[in-house]
Amino acid sequence: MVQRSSDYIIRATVRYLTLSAAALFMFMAASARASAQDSYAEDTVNISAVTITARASARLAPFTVVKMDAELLSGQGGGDLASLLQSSSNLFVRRNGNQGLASVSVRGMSGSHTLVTWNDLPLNSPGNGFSDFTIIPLHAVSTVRITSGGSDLDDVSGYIGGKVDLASEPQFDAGTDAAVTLGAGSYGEFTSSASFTRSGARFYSRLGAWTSSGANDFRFINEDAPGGPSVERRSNAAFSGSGMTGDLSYRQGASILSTHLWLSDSDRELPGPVTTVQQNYGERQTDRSFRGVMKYSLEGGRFTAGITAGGSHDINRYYHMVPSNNGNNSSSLMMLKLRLGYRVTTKTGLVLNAGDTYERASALSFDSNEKRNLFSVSVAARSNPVPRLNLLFQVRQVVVTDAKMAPEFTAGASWMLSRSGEHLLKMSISHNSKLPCFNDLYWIPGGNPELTPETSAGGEISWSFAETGPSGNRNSLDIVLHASRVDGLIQWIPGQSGLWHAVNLRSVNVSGIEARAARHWSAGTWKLHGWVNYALTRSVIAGSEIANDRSAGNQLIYAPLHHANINFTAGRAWLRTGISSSWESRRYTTSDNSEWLPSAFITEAFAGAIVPAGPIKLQADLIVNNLPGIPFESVRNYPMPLRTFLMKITLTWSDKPKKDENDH
Amino acid sequence: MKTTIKIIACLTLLLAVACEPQENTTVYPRGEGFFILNEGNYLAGNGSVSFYSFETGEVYNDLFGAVNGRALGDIPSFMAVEGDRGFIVVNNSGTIEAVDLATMESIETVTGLVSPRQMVIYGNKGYISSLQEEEIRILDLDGMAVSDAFEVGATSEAIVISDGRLFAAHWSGGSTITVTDIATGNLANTISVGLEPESMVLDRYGKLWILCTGGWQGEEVPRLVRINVSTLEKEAELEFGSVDDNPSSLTANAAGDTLYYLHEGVRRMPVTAEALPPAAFIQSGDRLFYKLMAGPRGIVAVTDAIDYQQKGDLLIYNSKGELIDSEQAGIIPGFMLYMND
Repeated sequence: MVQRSSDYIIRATVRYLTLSAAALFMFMAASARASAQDSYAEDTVNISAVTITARASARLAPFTVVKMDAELLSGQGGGDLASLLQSSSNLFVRRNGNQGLASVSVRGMSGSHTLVTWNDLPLNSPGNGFSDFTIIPLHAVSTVRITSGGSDLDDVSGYIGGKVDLASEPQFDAGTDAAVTLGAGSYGEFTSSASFTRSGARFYSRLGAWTSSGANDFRFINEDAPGGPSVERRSNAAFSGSGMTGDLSYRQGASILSTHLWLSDSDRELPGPVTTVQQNYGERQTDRSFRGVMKYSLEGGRFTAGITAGGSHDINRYYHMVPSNNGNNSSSLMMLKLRLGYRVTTKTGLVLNAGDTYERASALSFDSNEKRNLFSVSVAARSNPVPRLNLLFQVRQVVVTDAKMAPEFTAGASWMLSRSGEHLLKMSISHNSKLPCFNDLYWIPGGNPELTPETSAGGEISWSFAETGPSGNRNSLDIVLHASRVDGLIQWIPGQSGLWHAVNLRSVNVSGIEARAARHWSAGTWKLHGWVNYALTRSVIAGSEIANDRSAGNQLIYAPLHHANINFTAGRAWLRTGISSSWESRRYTTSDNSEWLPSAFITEAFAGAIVPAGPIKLQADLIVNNLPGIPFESVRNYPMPLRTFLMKITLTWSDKPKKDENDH
Repeated sequence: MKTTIKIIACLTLLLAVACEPQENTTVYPRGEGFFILNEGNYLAGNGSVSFYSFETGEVYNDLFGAVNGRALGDIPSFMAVEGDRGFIVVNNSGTIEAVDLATMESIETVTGLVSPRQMVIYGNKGYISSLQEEEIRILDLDGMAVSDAFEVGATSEAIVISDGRLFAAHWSGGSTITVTDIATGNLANTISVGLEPESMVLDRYGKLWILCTGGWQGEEVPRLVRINVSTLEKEAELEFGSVDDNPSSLTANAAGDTLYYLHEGVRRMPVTAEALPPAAFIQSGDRLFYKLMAGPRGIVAVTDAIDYQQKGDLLIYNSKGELIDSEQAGIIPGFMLYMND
């Protein structure tokens, strides 16, 4: 896995939350890597008020929510979202080779159990249920919010595993700035991006564009080569991509109207597996997407309201050396969501969410255009009956074309152990569901229209600590215990005819521990930041419909028992440097756990320098991926590169006054 | 002190001699038994070879990997034997591994083949079918290099050689058998048999039996067709009950007087039968039979790939259809080849 993150948490204050876009880019110039997982808490103080105007604080939510902010994302430069999540969160990223499909798993489930949204618009393909993180550049978003488990019922439908919520948040009063980044790296990699932001007291606009390409013919070691282990070059692996985003926001009093557009295009050759010899089937895949969202929010007295309308159209084409294997898939999605909040008393509030999603997908392997409509209503009650206690109860009912869904619910509480909110105890229970994707339902052959939704029931309990010392040093620690049971897990198995078909096959028991810790401190003129994530996740098959199945009691395939990462960055004057390592324990590749990929330990390092010249800054960064050059695979027989380099130069102009480089 | 040192030295020497590895060790007991090719997971490259010994009643797994220290490849689909050499067709790796049957050491790896499926040996050449190419590749077994190919106009799966002619079944989406004169490489005939001819076998009378599945979407009623290899005429055509039937894995015993195939269990019929057997003589029960081999003394070996993501089972039945042994093989145990040396 290419590791691209070495970050440090910045102070999350009101001032930070209103940082201008210009300051944002100055910050980008000033820090090669920066992060802010909100373990530090947006609300370490004054957290007892009922929040109904917007999403509740991540730290106050009774289930696990982690927010990564703009600094972390901008510091990633040309990297993709998968790399960021792998190195800086407890999520597991599965990559089908370098630049291949990357899916993100939460708490031991598969990538299709992770809902990915962009400004509330689902990005998961209605066809296969996945979202490809490789073609989601960090340029497209300003914040990432990760919800572990399926407890958040605000969306139109559920997902069981977890949610990755991407957003482009407007930054008002941020002035004007522009930035251009050029990068070049190993194996013919070239990246470029540009952005222009202009904002005032009432409006915000941002236009961004990017391109990337590479031959991607990296060296790897083929351990199973017929003549013995040999160093080979990857073939048929070139990639290119480009995209644009546009954000426009206007605010009047307590209301904000925003529009967001996202256009992306990618063309990737698909290298074959290395099964003793490197395969090359002449495979290639193109993905084109157009997405748009319009949002309106209003706050007034006891009432709040929000409406979101959006749509997307995705075209995926697959090419193979045998033309009959070619694929031509497309999908569309339209969504309308309404959110109404009412503060009943100073201590209790209600939130009503109602939404409708229309999904359509076509593929050569479908009989026709498949479509369905999802309508759901959820009601949430939040209360803090005593100052230190926050309660949440939420129910949702989803109504779907040709399917029945049971009601879902989440109940939870957070309790401040200390008056200032430094120590927080949280717990929640939830019952939620995930609908089958169109491929599972309608793919010919094997699609099964009789599939029922997968269900999950479980809960979690956690302790959260966050403090900011008088010297500005910040420390945080979060520990989560979770357990759930998933029933009716959909898997494909062969039938009597030998053809594979989808069935609600297995039950899975998921349990584990998650820990996050961070420290941000100063030592002389150095600004230092370190943080670690660790997840132990047992996702064990509990029951099966297959006779003589020996998978019972075993870990799900490609669900590592252990995932950990450790990050450290240091900055002083014009210098920035850092190192990031992540570790995955063995990942089983067979359901009886008889075979596995060995554990992987990947390290990335970076160093950067900044040259300020009035309103202009020039920043240069050198990033080394897989520093020790360790061979590894994320998916069996799809090798990842050994050591690679990427050099980036960023030129930034801003009309904001110069800030201290270390004043984050 | 010196005595103690001497004793320790002697014991060490003794231990070293006792632990010295034996040369020419074999990873499986040869003799009567059969090879099992475990296909492994698609794209995982973890195919393997096992051997079931009738003498010990045990399965010996991962013979190739244990000796050669590397994986066999992706989806080994067929094995042919000539003398002391075995030729393992590794479909999705596009290779043929030639191994020394005594040691299972790799002698040569033939690469560059496009989706090879089966290989039959005739003379000193191997004829290789392909799921993606419309030609039969010819492997020179002396030089271990692909020396030639002849066009058959369709992709192919099962191949049989009789009387200097090669019969290739156009399985994937096809409905024909092509007949090629091996000496000239010319296509002699194309016989229409039924949709998706999946497996073929020659009986003791030199008749060619072909099992047509009727198509993967059940487009046609499956059928068992008998062809006179001399006249190339269809002599018999036995239809199954409905388009929902899914027969597969036609094979014959060594004597060539009894046919076996999978259809809701294992069915068998004498080659002289005028109709298909009405019931299975081995019920599959809650098993999902994948591949079949007819062994000696009426013994039948069947594989169960379970969920196709874990090690599968090898089930051995006697001539009465009674289960006499059950062993764990590799992942997706498939093709089996009887040996007796």
